[in-house]
Amino acid sequence: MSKLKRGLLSLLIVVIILGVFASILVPVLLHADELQELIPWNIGILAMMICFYLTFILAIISAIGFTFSSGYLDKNLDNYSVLPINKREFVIAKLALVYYNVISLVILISVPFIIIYLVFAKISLIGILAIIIYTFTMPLVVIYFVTIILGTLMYFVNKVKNKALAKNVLFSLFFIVAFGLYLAFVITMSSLGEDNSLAQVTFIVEIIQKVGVFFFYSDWASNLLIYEDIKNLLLMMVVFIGGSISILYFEKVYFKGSLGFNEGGIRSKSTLRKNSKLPHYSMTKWFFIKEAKDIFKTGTYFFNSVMGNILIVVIYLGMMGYYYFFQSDTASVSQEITTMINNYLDIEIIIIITIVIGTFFTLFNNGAATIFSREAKSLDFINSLPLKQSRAFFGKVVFHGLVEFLTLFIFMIIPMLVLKISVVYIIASILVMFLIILATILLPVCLDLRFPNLDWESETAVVKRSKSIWMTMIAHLILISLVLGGCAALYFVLDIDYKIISYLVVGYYVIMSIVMIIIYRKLIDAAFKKVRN
Amino acid sequence: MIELKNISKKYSGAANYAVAPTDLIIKPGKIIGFIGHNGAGKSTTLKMMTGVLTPTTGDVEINGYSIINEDRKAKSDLGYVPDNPDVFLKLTGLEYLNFMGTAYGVEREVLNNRIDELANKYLMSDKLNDLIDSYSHGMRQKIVVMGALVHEPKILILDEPLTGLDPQASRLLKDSMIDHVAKGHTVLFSTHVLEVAEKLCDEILIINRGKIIYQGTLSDLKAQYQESESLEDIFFAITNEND
Repeated sequence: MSKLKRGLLSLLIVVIILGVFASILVPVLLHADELQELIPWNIGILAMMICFYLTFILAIISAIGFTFSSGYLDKNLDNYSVLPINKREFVIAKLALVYYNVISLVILISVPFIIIYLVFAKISLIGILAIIIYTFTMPLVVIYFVTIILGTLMYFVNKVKNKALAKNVLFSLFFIVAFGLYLAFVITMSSLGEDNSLAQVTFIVEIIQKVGVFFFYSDWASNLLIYEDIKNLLLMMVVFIGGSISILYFEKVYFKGSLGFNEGGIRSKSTLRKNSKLPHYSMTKWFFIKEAKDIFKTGTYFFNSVMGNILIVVIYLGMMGYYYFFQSDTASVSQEITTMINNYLDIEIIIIITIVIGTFFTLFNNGAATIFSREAKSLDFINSLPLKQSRAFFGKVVFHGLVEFLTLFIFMIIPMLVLKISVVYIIASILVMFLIILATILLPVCLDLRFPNLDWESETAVVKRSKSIWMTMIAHLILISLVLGGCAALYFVLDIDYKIISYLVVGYYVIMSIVMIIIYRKLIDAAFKKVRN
Repeated sequence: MIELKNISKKYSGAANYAVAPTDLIIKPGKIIGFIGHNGAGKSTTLKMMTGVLTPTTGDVEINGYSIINEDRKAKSDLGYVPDNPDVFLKLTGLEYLNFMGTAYGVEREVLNNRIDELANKYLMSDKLNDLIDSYSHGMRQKIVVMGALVHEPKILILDEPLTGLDPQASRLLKDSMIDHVAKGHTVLFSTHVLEVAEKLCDEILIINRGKIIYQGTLSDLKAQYQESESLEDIFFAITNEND
């Protein structure tokens, strides 16, 4: 691809991302006065506080993920060790990559909040400087802590015989960290209306400020928080010196923790096969099983596909569980909601809610976007087998569809069951979910079939550098804007009844599903034929 | 029987044929060694025979079934061992063999017994519950060979099967080829190890720069090149002639 094309493509991605942010920001901006009446603080300041908290959580999770994947899941690590390279430079290069990835995400998430801040708060140079310093230093500090903790953990994990189990335990720890942080965020935000809410919020923000090493000035923060400059300067010095120490420490533990880590697994525990009955599966089911095993047993694939779904489900269930078991007024709230639902809810509202949530959820699983590319090393072998490749391959598609379906099911159906909503509504929601998934899961599959990446050498390359990944991202963003923005436009601008809108969108997904199935069938045969040529 | 009818392969964008138009018949009940330099066209030819690559011209018939038009029937009679055994790494050895049995329509009971038989023969009985990812190269090669044999194919095609194998595994594989042919089946394998081809093969196919330059028995070949004692010497002589 030429530089001009690449530049235009990057610009297109930026425009689309900003467009999506705008579609979220516009309602906030339009209803700012109503929002301002509900909360005691300036919206701009509140937006920045939420931004700092969310980016802090995001930085921790992404720092752990990127440090783990680039530092420990790189299959070439053992090969690097024989080269005459400066180990410190190597470690710093790895951490620089982690920093780049984390800061990209932090900046991306910060954009809508910064826009709200710029519109609503009294803008000051100090305030803007504070945001910039926070944005660039907070990820650094987070990475320092992550290298120490993760480096130490991995040093000991690599001594363990059962590395596969150790990897799975570590992945689970990520969820616990993410869940814990999100729970803390929810507890804090949910207690905003209570008497001690200010103390709670200021406590949390204090921690974030100390980590981010920036300082509020009273005129910018509306007298919420005041810090002494000398204390913060000293803190900054300690943190940066600490950062240097953390790199030296990481260098010591890293190589012993990483080399040999990517062995395929243990062999010693295997036992003789008892002459028991072999399970009998169809070829489609075999490819389903294969896809499930490839995803769950390969760290890089797992991180870049179903982990997002699992994370969101864990956080959601944790949040629901917290409210259900720990909040005293749960029963009355549930009763109020059930009464409201019975009075106002109809099937079209259920359809719209399902569509909004279902369409948004398409963002979380990129696994389907490399469904064909990931088989690059096995395609010749698959082509040599006496089977209908396109039919068997559908098993892989079904796996990703099932993951999406289960995620949506937990999000939508479990609360509906708890709130004892009518079975008719539940069935309607399930049918709409099925349609959305069928349409949206085939989209990345078709993109991968049309633009496969079959020349990769590492798993990271296929999940990060395949054309289908970023094309899927753009397509999903367009889809979200079209569906959600379209619904909003039809309702608010054209004044069309929401019932008609619900059926229009269902019709859209029916047509999209049929079109995607037709395209899939053409593309899968063509893709295998192209490999044979 | 394998019949190549005017088969050729030219990769898109390439000036020359990877495999020039060729007619060839391989009769059953023999071990055929397919030898040639790197890049001569061995793998390309084998891949066309197994349906992995579509020929630019011509067709391949496997026991009368066209690999292009009746590919599933043709492939059902084949067992293919690719040059790279790194396939389906996240399945266990047992799952892989079960998968192959399903792909080739082997009945459950027969498959069960055959897996046990092959596992004992290849000394893999205590490894079948491990992921293929955890196997060494030699073990991966063994499991792929076992997968190719699980349906007792009439024709077994192996692409560089001896690469990376230890002596014991190498011996096991050679014995398997002999046993397979003893049942009336055909084995066609490509190799760089000319001594193995010399000791094992009933017939030799020599390919050079995409052209099959010899098909026949080793004794006939030696008769043509009386001054050369070994297959290696004959191979260099014959390929130099054709350059």
